[in-house]
Amino acid sequence: MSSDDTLDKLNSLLLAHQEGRLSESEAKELYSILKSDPAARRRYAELQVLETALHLELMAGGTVIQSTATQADFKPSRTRQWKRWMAVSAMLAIVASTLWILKFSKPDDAGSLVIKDQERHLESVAILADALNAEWGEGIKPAAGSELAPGKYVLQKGSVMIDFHSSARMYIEGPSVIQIQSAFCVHLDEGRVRAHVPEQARGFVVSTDRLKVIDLGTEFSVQSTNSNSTVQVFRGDVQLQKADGSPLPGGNQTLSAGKGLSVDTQGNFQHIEALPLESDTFDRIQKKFGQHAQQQFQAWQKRRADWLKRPDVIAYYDFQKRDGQENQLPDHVSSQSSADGAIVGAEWTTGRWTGKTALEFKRPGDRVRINISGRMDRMTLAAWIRVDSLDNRLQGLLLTDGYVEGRPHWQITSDGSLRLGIRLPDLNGRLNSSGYGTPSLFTKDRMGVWTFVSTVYDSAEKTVKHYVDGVIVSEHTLVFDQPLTIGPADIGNWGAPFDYQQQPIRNFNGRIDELIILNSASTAEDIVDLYQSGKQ
Amino acid sequence: MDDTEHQQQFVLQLTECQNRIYAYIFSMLGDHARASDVLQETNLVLWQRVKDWSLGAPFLPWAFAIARFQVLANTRDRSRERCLLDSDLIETLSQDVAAESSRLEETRVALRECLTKLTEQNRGMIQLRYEHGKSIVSIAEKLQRSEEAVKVALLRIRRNLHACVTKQMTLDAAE
Repeated sequence: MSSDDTLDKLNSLLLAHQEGRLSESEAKELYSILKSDPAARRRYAELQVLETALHLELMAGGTVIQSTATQADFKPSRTRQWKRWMAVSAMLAIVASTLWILKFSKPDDAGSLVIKDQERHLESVAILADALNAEWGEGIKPAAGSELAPGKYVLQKGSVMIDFHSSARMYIEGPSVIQIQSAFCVHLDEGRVRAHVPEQARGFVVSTDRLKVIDLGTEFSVQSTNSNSTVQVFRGDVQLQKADGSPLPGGNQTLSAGKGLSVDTQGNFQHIEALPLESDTFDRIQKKFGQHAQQQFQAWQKRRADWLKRPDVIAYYDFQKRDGQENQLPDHVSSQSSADGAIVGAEWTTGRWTGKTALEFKRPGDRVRINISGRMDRMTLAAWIRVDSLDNRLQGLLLTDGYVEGRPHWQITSDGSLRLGIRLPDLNGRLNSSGYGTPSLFTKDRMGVWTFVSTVYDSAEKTVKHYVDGVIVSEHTLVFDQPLTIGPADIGNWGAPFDYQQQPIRNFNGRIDELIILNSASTAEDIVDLYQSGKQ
Repeated sequence: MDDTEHQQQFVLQLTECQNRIYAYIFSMLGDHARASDVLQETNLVLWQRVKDWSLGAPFLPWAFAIARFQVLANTRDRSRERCLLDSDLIETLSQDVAAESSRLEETRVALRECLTKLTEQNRGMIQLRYEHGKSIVSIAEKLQRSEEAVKVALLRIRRNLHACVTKQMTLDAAE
């Protein structure tokens, strides 16, 4: 690469980085250019120092410490304006440099960035860790457990807890509108947020239209309304600036625990006392989420008891680990002992709430063996599942052994659709099958999110209906109405026919924490009811 | 050695070198907010180690060495975020960045001259970018031009400034 080309290439890569758009491959390209070419290294240094110079020259306010080079003489002279500094103690130098930094700091690139439309950001920067009665407005409506990309989020009601990849944790109370800009930066358009920022995420920024709060290892809250922005510090310290990065009037820009600051639309600043710790602690908010989870779990336990009394329940797997029964998954209903599940490989883990367990299916051999006899003209299959990835062509939820007439295969395909497959009677000795599938449901947003799936088979009505989270997603007409039998089957995997040369891998990749099999066709209302009583 | 004199000299050197130390740090991190933080940490360490610096000894190389250490620590701590340079590159680039950073003030003088030579239009764009800290998207909106056009224009202006500044510094040095 010619010297000019190298310069252009570096120029371009550095600009991309400043914009937050440097891709993996571009980063690698930068690495190899700099590693291999000494001339490129010099150009890089020139470009970066030029960038610094531009920043210093043009930044509003310039620097507190005027370099003596403002006159074209670069040798420091003791007799010049620095004489006044000589009398100052060394600690003041630290203070001076702190002031210099504060005055010098400009909003980082993310802070002044206009939020780009959703398609451009493929990388997530946070997880929606928990949601309590959350209702989202226009735009993205994330489910608890899903990954969050930079963008605007409108929380109309309820509270959510977001864990940023930087390790900062933020609680948001609706109604609030936030713009997540990176793992280290959030803009609060309006509403109320509470941030808990551990040492590892020091430097986390919450900004509003009037104020910029830079964390120094703290716990603080920021509130923004039409008329003012308020920040209160509960633990540690924060650094404050005006929204444009310039310093606040009055000198000291650090706010400590117990202190707060309010700014109105005219730009008037008022120091206030922060609310006492007890009235708004991090712990109390955390408890709220914990209590909610506990309530949900208790409600589930009660419901479970009701379910066991229903006459149409063929099998009910609660996926609760019991001491002394670690490799069993009893069905609690059927008088057939073979309906009890035998766990092979799948491991116990956490389910939807604390106290609720689940089985995790990960390895190709992981499965739960069951055997349920009886023919059913109508069947409802319902389960709470969490899909972690779609690695195989088919991910088995409940797959009967082999490929036998009238024995269903309930599964998720590699493109994320929920599918019920049934082998039809052979005609003219040829294998016939029918498959009823939804459009793609398990997309990237749904990975890691607890989802309620149910499929209703009705040979009398000649329909198959699929529901996700209580909502019908597809309805199909049966090609051939036949009663279904389960017989020997796997939960989370497939016992392939013996005559298959190679065992195809069909294991589920994720967690299951409840599975119900009914010999009736549930109504839409039943399904909604089931979903509502089991959601997080 | 007189302790007061030593301290006073330290203060003088530290304040005098702030911009250049900042240039060194920014060149490695490429992010102003992070560079500010690391500068603050560097200043603290320099003060803690004031006894390591002897009166009359070159201050900047010592400061750069401490700054490099802080940059490496910062890069290591923020490993989850994509850094501009990894520790390997930081070490490799250290000499070049140090050499160029120590010429920051000359660069600034040359730059002032070169900025006056920009067209009104280009000057406007540079101001939006550096004085107001606007992103490409934001500038495009403001100037009613496409993002691509803004990007191309910025790259061209930066390239021209680089050429002008390089030439100007050679002229300045000769005088």
